Amino acid sequence: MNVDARLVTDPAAVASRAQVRADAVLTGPGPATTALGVLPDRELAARLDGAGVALALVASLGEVADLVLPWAPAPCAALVAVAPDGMAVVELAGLRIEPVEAGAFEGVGGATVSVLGSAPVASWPLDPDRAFAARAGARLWCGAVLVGIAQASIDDAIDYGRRRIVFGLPVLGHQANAFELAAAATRVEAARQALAAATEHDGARFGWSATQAYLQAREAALAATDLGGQLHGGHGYLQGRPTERYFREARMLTLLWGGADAAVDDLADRVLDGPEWTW
Amino acid sequence: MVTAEVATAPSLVIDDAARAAVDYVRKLGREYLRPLGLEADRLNRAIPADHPFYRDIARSGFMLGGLLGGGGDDADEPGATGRAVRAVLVAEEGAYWDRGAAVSLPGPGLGGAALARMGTPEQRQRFEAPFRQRERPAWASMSMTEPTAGSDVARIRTRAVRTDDGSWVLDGEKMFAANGGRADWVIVWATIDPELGRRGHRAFVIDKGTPGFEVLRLEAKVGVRAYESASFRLTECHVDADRLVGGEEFYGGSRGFGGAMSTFNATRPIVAVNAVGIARHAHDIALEVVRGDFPAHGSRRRRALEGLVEIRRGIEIGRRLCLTAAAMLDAGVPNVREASMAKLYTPPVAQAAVQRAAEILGESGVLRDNVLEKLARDCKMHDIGEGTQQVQRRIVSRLLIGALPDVSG
Repeated sequence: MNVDARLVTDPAAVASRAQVRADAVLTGPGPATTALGVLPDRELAARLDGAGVALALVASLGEVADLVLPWAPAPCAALVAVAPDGMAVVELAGLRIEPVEAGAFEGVGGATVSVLGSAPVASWPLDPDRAFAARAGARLWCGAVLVGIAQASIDDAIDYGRRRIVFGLPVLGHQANAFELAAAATRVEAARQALAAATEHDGARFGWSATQAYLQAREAALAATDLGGQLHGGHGYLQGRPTERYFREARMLTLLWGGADAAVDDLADRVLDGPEWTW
Repeated sequence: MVTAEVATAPSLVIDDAARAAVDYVRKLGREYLRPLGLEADRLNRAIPADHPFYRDIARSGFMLGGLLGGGGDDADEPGATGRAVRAVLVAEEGAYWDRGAAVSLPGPGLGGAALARMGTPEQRQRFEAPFRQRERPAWASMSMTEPTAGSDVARIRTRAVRTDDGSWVLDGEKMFAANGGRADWVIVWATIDPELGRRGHRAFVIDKGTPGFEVLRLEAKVGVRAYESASFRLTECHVDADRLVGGEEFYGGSRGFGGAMSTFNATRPIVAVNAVGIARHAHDIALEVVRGDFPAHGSRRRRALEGLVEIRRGIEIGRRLCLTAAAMLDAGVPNVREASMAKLYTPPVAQAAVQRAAEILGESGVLRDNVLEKLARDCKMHDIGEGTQQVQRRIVSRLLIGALPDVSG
């Protein structure tokens, strides 16, 4: 399932898309497309655009020859690896692709992708700011989908919490539950606005803002999807309900591309000379 | 399925005039607000009203365009930074240097904000006059809170009784009026009948020195000590009919309460961004230490860098929430939810930022200076004042959930 490009250029659009599913990150061109945006070879970029492209954020391009990605789009036509100082593309002939057996994305499909020790078809040096922006672009996409999932979980919890009666009141008629909902929804709103703000910038400032927004989005999604299940009580622990899917998918998405650790590393490496304060 | 509506935030316009206003506050902050705020905290009293600094502020013509966005004639032009956004920008910068000292600056304050939203043109002209002159510093204030009615403002008990000649007599007690001891006038909220609840609310402009208006004390606060928070009593305090803010026709239905709430929609983003300004100050203290005399390698340095990342994220995202809420207000878009979300979000984030900065400094940092200790005290106010975090959660949750089905049967 593809998600249209507005999710990148206008992450706020995610908010009304309760149907957005986490597999968009894997099966759409989204995150890889943002990385391809800085690909110097426009012909190659055009060839890959729209195809299933796995994205790997790596510490150095030397890692690419032995790379194994647990989750990737299926089908997968290529792998794009972005390092702090360059990027590389490995196309289909150099990949071993195996179906994923089980995990958080049950029923979604996906593949484990290994590079067969072959050299990338192409690699380029990138200046650090552009490489940072490419990584942040992928994170921005992931953050937008996380916000979509978080919002869906909030909406689902409101729907259920208004109808289900406990101790003589709807679930959300109890202040303890309503207050938790307000806090979770506020985190989601903060993430949404942070994502939107990031798209107003370029270069290193974009990298900074998008990475911050990603961190906010993952926290918001973890909290909102946890609360969503909690407010459903036992029903939140049953397979087949949307709430448990939101719970699983949010947790899986937060692990992609090194998750929070890699994102914080990127920011911590820059924080002493971070971008100027700006509105 | 209920799908929470997502407001489309208006685009943020920050023009040269807004930047100049921030630059002006930065200059004030460096030269005056920071040192005066530190001194006031140390002495545990507000900056005296006759301080020469205030006289200079009055001469500069700054009063009417002051920190809270009350009055001012040059905002709201098409394509210009709106009044609310400008107020948020300036309020963050003021709080960065010293929140208490910034609030103490001469100007109409919250009273001006209420007057701007509810007052008639004649009332605005009349009561803004002290802030249009440049001869002496002037203050105004607004008072809603009472000893027995804080967060739940619908429960205020100060009574307003109409007399045969159309004037009013007020009786009651108020607390936490910012700059209330030195204000030329205070907007006082009262009720014509507690049984009417919100529909009974009325607001009056009461001048300093009006018989029956008695300042009881200036409260001793935990932090933000540079401005005074006055408690006062009204005893058979006679108020002319033309001091009813907006006139009687304004108060159809529950509009009196609505007027107060709409004022909060303007002021909550400001108080929220004050917390952001304090967090920024804490960030800069920690940043300077890490850049300077700090382990160059190792786990402590790494944790400090990660701490700075965390602090900065809270600042930048919190600021964005405040600016969005303000931009919506300027654009005439309902912003109740966004204003409350901003106020819900920033104080805890700022408190965490101050704490994290203190942890980066460690004990040696506390030996060097105690500013972070002051910031921790200053910051806490923002999670209480202008509606506690719990009030904001109540507002946000009610907006999200809507009316619940009646299950009494």
